[in-house]
Amino acid sequence: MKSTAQHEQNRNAMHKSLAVASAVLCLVSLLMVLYYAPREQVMGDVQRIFYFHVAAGWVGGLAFAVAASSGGLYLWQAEERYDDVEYASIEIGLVFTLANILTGSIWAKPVWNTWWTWDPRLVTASVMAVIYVGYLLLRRSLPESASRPTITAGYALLGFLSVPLTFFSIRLFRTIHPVVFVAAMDGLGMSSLRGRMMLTLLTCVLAFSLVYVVFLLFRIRLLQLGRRVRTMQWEQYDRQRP
Amino acid sequence: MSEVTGHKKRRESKMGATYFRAVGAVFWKDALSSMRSPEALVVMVVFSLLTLLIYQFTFGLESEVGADVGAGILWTTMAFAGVLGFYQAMAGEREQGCLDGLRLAPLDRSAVFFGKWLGGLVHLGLVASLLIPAMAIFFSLDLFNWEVAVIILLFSIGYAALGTLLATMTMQSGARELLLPVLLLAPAFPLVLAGTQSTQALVSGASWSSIQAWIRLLVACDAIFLSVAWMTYDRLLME
Amino acid sequence: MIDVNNLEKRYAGRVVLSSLSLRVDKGEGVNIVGRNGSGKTTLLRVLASLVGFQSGYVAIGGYTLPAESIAVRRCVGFLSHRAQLYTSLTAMENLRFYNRLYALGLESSRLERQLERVGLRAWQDEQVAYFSRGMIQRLELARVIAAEPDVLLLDEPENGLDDDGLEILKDILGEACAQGRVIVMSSHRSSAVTTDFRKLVLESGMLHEGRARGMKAKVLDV
Repeated sequence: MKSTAQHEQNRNAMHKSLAVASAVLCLVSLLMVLYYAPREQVMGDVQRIFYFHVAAGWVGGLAFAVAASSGGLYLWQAEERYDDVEYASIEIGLVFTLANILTGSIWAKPVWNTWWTWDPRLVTASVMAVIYVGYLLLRRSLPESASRPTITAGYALLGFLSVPLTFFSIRLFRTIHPVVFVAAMDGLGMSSLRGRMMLTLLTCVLAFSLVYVVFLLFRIRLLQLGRRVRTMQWEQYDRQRP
Repeated sequence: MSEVTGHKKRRESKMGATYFRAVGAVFWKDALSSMRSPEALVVMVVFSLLTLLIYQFTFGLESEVGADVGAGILWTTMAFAGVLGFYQAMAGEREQGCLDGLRLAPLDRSAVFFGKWLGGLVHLGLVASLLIPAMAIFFSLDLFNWEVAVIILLFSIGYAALGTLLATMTMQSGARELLLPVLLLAPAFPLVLAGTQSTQALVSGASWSSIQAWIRLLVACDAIFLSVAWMTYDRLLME
Repeated sequence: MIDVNNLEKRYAGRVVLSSLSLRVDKGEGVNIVGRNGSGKTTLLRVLASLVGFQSGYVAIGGYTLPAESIAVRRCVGFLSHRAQLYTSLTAMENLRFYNRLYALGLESSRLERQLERVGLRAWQDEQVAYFSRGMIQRLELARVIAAEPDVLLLDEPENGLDDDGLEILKDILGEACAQGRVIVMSSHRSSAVTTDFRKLVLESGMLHEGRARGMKAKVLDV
């Protein structure tokens, strides 16, 4: 029968190897983006940022979905690990979403000469980022109590469900008020990607997803350790009282 | 000991009606409290009119505005004035520590949500009934028709659901006055957009059937937000 | 009526109640004493189903927590140390609100009699904002007993009561016991009104009968 120490060692080893794997994959995807992927005809080299932009967006959305599902699970069965996954996922997802918005903006400037556009995906990503930030603000402002995880779980669920509604509302807005360059942007949808571009994109998405998983695992472990420290502190305090 | 068990039996037989009676009790209690201290209402009125004034100055608007600007003014003011009302919904409970009284209600506590949600609806209705005439007076915008009323109602259903839900969530938070607008306005985005766009279309002469997509979106938002509230409120109210 | 076995309750990693057991039968009254922060309020809130717990068995009136919490809430009357009253409403309006919220179905005359019982009949149409601390406590008592709950959970009910108020409380408790109700109350000092209640001390997360072994007498007089 393995002791908990042995379990922990195995788990740490697995986390470390995943971390290494993700670093390697990131390097591979960077090389692919710079050298393997073909030069895009219309936009030139600036298009290469698109791979990271989409990958970051994908992970941002995935993280939110994971957080919301975890929140839902917590509301159903109040287990600490669901709360941990939810919190860690939102923290990491925010970073990826901000990266998505930033890279989108950097891409837009040389191509359409504007930092911002009323593209449904861009606006939705921004609203999603605001909801993420709202989650973190809410969490930090609540005292640690039995109800904090319940409240944040409810908010994560609510926030997540409002995202597709936001997306549809802007898309509807766009069909009524179309803008010329939106068509160009849509032209870069997945369907029109040729072989090497598709492969590069998939590699990037995989790399970022792996980074997300690694960060998630480490962050959850940090949360667990923090709790353990606090429990030990309380125990010590109680022991010292006469 | 029949004295001790008799009451329980009587209560159990009235389960269905008790839920609605509880909703009514919460709504009426809040209504009574607001009527006795009408400062909130006065603040809401002043705030709404002040917002309209600020728009007029900052955008240099004449006494007549186009459909797009008018719709924008109406709905942003609705959204911001609405936020004020949601503080009231839960502020009263928290200040006086009355949550336990609500938590101890022996039924599904989503009834408390619906009581407060109705209060939120009434509040938004009051804001709207102030803004519509004000828009006519200050900006010569005629919004006196049933289509606009329906849009306002659909918006209010979803917005009040969000507001009541989030006011409950931020109750224990130290920074709740600051947080509520931030937490509310992001998920409310589709509601505000739909309200603005459909009103703008109507004022520009579009028919009711042509804005059905927006109406459907509003209904979808309402359904989703109310469902989340209904399913989670009981847990949310707990300590 | 109340059956608790091996209850464990933690707040943010800190153990508040541990291996706590309690059994109270019909017509019995229990007074739980302990220092500030010993967990008396937590225990009462767990019994009232207001707060969850990590492990253990808790049954009130035959209904277990947390599965049957609605049924538990129906048999329980809880007096918190924060009054559950709305200051802009009158005494009568407060009672009427809870009457409807808790589906008690009591007529106004019944509510008036409860107010009479606690000596507040004359103030029934006064806003609670104008009540003194003692009057608020009496109104709270009226609110709790109006429902005629099988189990009364009272968190420091003597707070704020003057001598007359304490007399009223003593009468109410005596009557409740005679009717077969169960009373669990807490106080942080030995109580004047509960001389015939079983006294339990809450210390280190557990309940002990009477005085705990090795505890100095003066600690109880905090």
